[in-house]
Amino acid sequence: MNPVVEVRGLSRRFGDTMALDEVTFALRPNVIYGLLGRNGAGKTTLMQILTGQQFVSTGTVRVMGSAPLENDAALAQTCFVRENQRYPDWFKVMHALRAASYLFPRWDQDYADSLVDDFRLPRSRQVRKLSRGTLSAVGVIIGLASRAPLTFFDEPYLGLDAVARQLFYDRLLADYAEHPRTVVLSTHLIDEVADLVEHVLLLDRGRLVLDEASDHLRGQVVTVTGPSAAVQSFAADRTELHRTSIGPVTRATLRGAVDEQTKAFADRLGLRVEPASLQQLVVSLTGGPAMDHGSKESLR
Amino acid sequence: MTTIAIDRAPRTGLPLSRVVTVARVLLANWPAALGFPLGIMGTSFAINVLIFGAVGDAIGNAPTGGLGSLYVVQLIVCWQGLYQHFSFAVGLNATRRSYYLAAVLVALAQSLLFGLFLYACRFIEHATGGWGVNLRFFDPLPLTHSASPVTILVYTVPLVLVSTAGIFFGSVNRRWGPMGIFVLSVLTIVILGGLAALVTYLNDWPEVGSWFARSWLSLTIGWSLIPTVLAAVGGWLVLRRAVP
Repeated sequence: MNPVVEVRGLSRRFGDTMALDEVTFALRPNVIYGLLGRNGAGKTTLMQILTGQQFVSTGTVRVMGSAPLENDAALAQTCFVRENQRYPDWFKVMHALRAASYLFPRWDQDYADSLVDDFRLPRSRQVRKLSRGTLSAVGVIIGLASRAPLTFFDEPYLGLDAVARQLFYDRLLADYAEHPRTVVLSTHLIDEVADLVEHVLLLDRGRLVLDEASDHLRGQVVTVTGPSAAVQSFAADRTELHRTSIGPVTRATLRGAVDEQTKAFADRLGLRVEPASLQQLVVSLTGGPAMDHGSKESLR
Repeated sequence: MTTIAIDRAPRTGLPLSRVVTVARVLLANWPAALGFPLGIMGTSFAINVLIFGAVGDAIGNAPTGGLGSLYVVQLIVCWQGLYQHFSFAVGLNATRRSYYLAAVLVALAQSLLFGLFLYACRFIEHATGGWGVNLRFFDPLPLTHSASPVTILVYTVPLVLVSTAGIFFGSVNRRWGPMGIFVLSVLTIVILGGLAALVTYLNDWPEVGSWFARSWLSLTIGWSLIPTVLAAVGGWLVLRRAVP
């Protein structure tokens, strides 16, 4: 099947900063992608370029087979809902939804109405008077009801409570099962979406450092916790991605599957071996000193 | 299970239907888009009726400048409309080109609609003896005296000018933020002030004045098209590189 998105050697420079640096990947139809990375990694810039909103410095981008910039036919099949989605001051919720219904050829009004009820959205309230979480819900509803073949959610749920976030995940999965499409979900709440995303794209300082199926990743990275000397010995002939220590205890994130024999060896050393969560993997691959605090927290 | 089919999307020319679609987005809350300029003008009109009713014949059949409020508000509405809808429509999935053409299309339609409305009001004003209080609100200028349909253009064409000026300001505002508006304001003052200084230096004010007096009609519905087109083209050149 033809890819929905093809990106080759894509770079975007802002002054001295390389927001994106020689990024190459493809997005297949009907897959939920997780686009992960720290703040400033280039996630939003990448999504803006794929939706024709931002300009390319070098490289090529194809969306539905053609360049997205100023391409009405290609962009009509995309939807980009961002964290700070803006609405005109004079729009009420119903105007925002009505306007969105015009923009997206596959808009489903019945579905939008049911989502408005699910999220308890006040249709006749002015958008600028909504709370942060309710404002996010408007964007989430537009993104879901658009049924765009290529839908981007950029941190769509800022301020949404846990119940509403779960509602979003549930509705997304259910609708995706009925109407498969390509969804790119960019978020910092990695653990929450770990079971949702089928494929992970990880950006770090503008470079694509991971482009793998989630299932494949799960067995490939483990965390080993125990006495520092034992961890040191266990990790000696493995690729170590990350290490944190608190007193005599060390936790290391290691690449490579662990077989039964190795597990027995770890047991003898008094080590606990666990498959790394997606969040641990992301922290390991992209975490500099600033992330150590978070890693220590998760050790406790 | 319904798979959402992905249409291969070859680069094509501008689909007119997409411009119309985006125009509908701009008018999603059309009562606000139309009502705001008319509401402000209506308020100005009501105040004028009250004043003329109170004063009686003391000020005779003097024209008022209240109609100017519509033109000022139309400029602000087009400015804010372009600025705010851009983030919404282009942010979701519209192209800049479709968005800009839709904004110009809506401004043209609004101007024509308002022009026809003012023309109708002008007739009512004449038929009712100035709304019963000898008020000249919709016919304040020699140019608006004529009952000819050309008067529709006298109302409409300047509305198109202020609309495109608003679209241009909105584009500058969108692309460069408040600093863009600041620089634009300074440039406008420098250019207009420079022209005024030049005329003063050449001692040509009487000639300029009489030229204006002679050419009101052609200035209003002819020459004003030059800055209108410049503003519309300039706005596009600015907005085509703006990012939502």
